[in-house]
Amino acid sequence: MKVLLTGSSKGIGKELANLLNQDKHMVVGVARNATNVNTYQQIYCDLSNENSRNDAFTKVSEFAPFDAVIFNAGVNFAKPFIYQSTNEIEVMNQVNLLAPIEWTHQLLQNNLLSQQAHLIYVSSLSYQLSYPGASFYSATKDGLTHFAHSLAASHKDLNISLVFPGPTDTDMAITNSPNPNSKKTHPDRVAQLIYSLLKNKKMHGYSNISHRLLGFMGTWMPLLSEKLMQQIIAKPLNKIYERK
Amino acid sequence: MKTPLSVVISGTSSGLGLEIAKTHLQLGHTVLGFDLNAAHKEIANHANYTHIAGDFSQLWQHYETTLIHCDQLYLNASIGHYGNLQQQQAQSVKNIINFNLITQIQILKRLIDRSKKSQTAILIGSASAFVPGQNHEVYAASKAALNGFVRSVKNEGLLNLNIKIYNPGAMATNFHQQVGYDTQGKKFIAPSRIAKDIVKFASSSKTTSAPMIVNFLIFISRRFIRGFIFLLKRRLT
Repeated sequence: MKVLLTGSSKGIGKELANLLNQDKHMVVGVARNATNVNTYQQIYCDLSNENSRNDAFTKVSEFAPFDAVIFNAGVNFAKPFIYQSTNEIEVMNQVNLLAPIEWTHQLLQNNLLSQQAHLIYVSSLSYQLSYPGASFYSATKDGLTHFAHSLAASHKDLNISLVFPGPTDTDMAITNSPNPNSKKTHPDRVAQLIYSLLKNKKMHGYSNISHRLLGFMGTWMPLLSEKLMQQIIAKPLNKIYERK
Repeated sequence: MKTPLSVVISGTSSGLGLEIAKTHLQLGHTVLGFDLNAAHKEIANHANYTHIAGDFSQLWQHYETTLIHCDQLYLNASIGHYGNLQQQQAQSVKNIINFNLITQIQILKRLIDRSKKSQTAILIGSASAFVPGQNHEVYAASKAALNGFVRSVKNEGLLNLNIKIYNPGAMATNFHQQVGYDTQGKKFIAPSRIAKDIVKFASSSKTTSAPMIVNFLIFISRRFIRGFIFLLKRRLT
């Protein structure tokens, strides 16, 4: 299987690239911190920059057709909306929403996917369970998730999956968490989940039972879960920003 | 007697924006309207109406002070594309996200940063944010993102800005005709009815709303109905 993977140099992407590589799949990784990896191809790309995206896509196209594409790269600046800069908003929009939509569009338009190709979008638990500080991040993940659902409805020739990771032990989550010492899922667990979706073609994936339960609660009891999130996240988050 | 409001609306030359402007003018409010096209003849000469013709995504920065001082701001204008994703132009994909999402967010950000008075900003979403947008994937994504933003930001307490979102279904407007709907059919709601509901909603304490019972049912059932409809569609087709 030939797999295109964004955000392959760190966190979930790095673990996933290693997993795929171990099983002799061909991985074409795209990353901002693309370093020399002997075992699989890595292409430099800053997804927040349009020119860099276009250059990288030209290079990526040379490896087509792809059997699977995993849109894993994401960025979060978790803070109250009033403290978010326009640049941070723009970066989240480019990386989390526009880049996967644009590349999906280009892959389809240029016939760079094989028959029954599998597209996997890494969303977030914020889709079900919104929390203070996730305002624009949550917007991008809602947009991405709805795009994937819409694509699945109109493209029955494709397999579409969505992953909803909760707090994961990655640099991004640690930097943005109001409580960096709280318990987080190991990125390897999320990578295994994505790999299992590639095999079983299921539509939705959660990294563990507690995340699944949180997702269920956010969907069916939105008011209660929002109150809970306010208690858990809003207070420590506001304290951090009051101090600043 | 209530003090007349000062209202700013984007996309006032036709459809829903025009009807919202008419409703406010009937209530004696002053309206500043933006649209790519010239003012509609029904409101062009109204004493309380001012029209600015041009691209709102570029123009709003020149009128920032007016936006900051208005009582209600309707971010109504949006763009869409109906058809196969492969046949959509790359520029159109970008424009939809930039106009329907980023422009609105940048304006809200600016209002929060600079406004000293209590204001209401009403975003116009879409019912397509709640069901998979077959053949209008990017448009549906932009509207879902707006809803996600409002849902998340409402708990942050923005002090000076009350952000709301209204999600109308397809209406008998030029916009829906342009994106491929046959709006002559009876099933489409007249925008004048929706406009009255939106104006009421703008002054209410609600954060999100949608018109008519069908849209309302879609709205309250939120995400779980999406999955259900999605599975049903996949099974039936």
